[in-house]
Amino acid sequence: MMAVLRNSAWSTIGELGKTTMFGCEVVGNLLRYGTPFRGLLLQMYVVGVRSISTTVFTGFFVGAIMAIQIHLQLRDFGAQAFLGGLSASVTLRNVGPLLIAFILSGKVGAYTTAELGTMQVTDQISAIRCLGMDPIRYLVAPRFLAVVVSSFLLLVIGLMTAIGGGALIAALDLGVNTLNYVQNIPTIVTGWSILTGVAKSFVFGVIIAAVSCYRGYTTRNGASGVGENVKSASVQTLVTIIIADFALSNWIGGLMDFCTEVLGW
Amino acid sequence: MVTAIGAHTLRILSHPVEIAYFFTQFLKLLARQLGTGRFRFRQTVDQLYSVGVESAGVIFFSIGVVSLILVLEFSFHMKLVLHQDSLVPAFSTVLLIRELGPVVTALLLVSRVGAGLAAEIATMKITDQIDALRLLSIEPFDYLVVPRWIAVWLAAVLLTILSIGVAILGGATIAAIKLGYGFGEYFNSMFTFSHFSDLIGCIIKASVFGNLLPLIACYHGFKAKPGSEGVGMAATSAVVEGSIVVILADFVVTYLFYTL
Amino acid sequence: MIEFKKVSKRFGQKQVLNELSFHVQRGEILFLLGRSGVGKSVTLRHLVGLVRPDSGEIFVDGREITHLSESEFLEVRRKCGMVFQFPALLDSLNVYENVAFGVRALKIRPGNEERDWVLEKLRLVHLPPSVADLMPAQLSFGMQKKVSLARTLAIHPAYLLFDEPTTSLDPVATRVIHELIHSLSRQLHVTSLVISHDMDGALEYADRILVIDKGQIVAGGTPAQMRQEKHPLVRDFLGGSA
Repeated sequence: MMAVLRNSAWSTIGELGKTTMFGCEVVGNLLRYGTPFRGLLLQMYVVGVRSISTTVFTGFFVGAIMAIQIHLQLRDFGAQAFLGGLSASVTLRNVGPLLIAFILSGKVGAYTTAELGTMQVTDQISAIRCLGMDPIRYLVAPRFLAVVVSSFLLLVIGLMTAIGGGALIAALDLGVNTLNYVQNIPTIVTGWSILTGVAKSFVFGVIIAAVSCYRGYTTRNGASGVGENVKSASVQTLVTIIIADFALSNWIGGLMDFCTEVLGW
Repeated sequence: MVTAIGAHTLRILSHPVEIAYFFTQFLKLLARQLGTGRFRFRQTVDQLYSVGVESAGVIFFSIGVVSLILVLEFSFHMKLVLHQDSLVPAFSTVLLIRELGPVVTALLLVSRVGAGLAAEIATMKITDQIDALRLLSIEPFDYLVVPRWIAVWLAAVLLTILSIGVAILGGATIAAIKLGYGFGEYFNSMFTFSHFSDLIGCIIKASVFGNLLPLIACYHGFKAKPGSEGVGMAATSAVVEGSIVVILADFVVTYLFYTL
Repeated sequence: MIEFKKVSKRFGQKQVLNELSFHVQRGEILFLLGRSGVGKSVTLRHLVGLVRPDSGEIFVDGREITHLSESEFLEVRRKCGMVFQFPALLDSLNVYENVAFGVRALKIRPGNEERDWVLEKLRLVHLPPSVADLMPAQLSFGMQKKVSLARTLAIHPAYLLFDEPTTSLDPVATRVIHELIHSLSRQLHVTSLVISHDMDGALEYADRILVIDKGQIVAGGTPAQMRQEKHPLVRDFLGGSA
């Protein structure tokens, strides 16, 4: 049992390393050759626009759920007045980016993995190489960039919707006036919190892009291989996002402390 | 343009109807199977083992990290609002039990199990194994879906509870290290804010998620189109829909359980 | 000329190629036969750099290719055109764009000559210009195979590599493809290396036949010689039972 755990821990670290190297290769390619703007827009449309409704939908509910939960906990203190600020803050800094990124890792990430994986397994990627084109440059790089940008924008939209969802449920069911709710927000949500939310949105987007492109590109074993890789891409993305969430919270928190204490901001 | 939107909307709306039909088919067959008393015990156990044991490591690790994140978050907010963070561990654990424990576990399972299941069944479909089963008078639902459904349901509940246990221990340790709490203090404060009903709520959530997820995954597996494209799409749809349904169901249960 | 010298390749536990040695003469049509899974595809993939051997040497027109980098391989790929077993058409591009793909990437023809070049290649595989706007998904399997061939022809290679061109085609389509391979090879003065398990086709259209088993060449010769061959595997092939 321990051997199984140890082996899987090693292989996970190995996979993480390979994914990072792949990501660096793609970014290097992008920096060197760029990518045609029209192709990029097309990819962003395919990947991003299709996911707007899902993101708005999910964001709304995530915000609502958090509002209910925070309200419950505040009730024990009689501190309901803080609902707007606290709910928005927690949603923006943490739970929002986390859960919405989870959803996007499915919609955007799994889709990209399946697409690239199918192309790999039907020899289209080999054909591209044989015809003299670099598949990373032609196929992967534009998709990678499209996923990063789309994920970022979608996450930001999702976060805004989440705050709206929280406000709505607060007004409808939790007996907190929308005006109070909204007015309370700036008391707790600081520029740092917004920075945290935005930074996480960007980093999660990069993670989704890197893992999904890597897994898609390295698919083997025919049709069942594609399914396998969609599965492992999804899991790998989620776990990496969770770890990144923790790391970012820590670092930005540390950065903030540093700025306040040392620089007096 | 309008017709395109209209057609698209129809397609989205018809989807839940199709899934609902799938569910009813499933329930019918389940009732029939329970009626005959035959039960594929061995297979269910195999499935439970593969789902549970394989996913356990990932889930425990993830929930562990999530509980650390929550401690950080609550610490930040409580210092801001209440100017003291003594209640942080208790609060964060409570949120874990009520919300993030079941949801994060479920989302991880959607990826691991949902995609895997959909891909497995989709591969069987495009290699004609499902038709082969029918020709052997074995009802695919019976043989494939029911054991997996039960296994995933049980696994979801068990894994959620165990992972929360892990998280509570983690929270207690952090509290001891960072805030100088004793274990006794920690558990006391935890129990002030949570009730037994929270555990029930957590189990209910895990059950709902564990129920819906395999059915959605199997649905997409059965519907797979031919070729590796079909398998990829089945797995992707299973993950996407599974995740969305988890959030939706989470909202419904949270609303019903906690606000009524 | 293409030459394989003691090429070995193993995948995991399986030794797929075992000191494989053979050569292909300029201008000939060579059929490489063997049962399924003996490494015929892998042999072809070595020539375009999709696979690298564990040991041994491969020469294309005198140049040793096993240690070339990806960018150095471009020259070899311009010479060795691969036609895949499953058409591998890029499904987001239409027929014209597919055929023109290599032309643009390898700069085979300047922009203003491209259209004529592409349409001519389609004509060579007996496809009318009207298919140029169709998407791969709208074509039958046989037509996709033809487009795949046109796409490879478009990069003007000296060697054509065919990976099981007629597997899973009906007898009529099989004959059509074999005829096409034969006439194109003669007409365009290219060398064709065909992987197959169709002995009848080989006997009819090949200049020379080689039989692979267990990663090595076990028999070879002209069709006339193969008909007299005593090796049991070859006799199985001739009897149509392998």
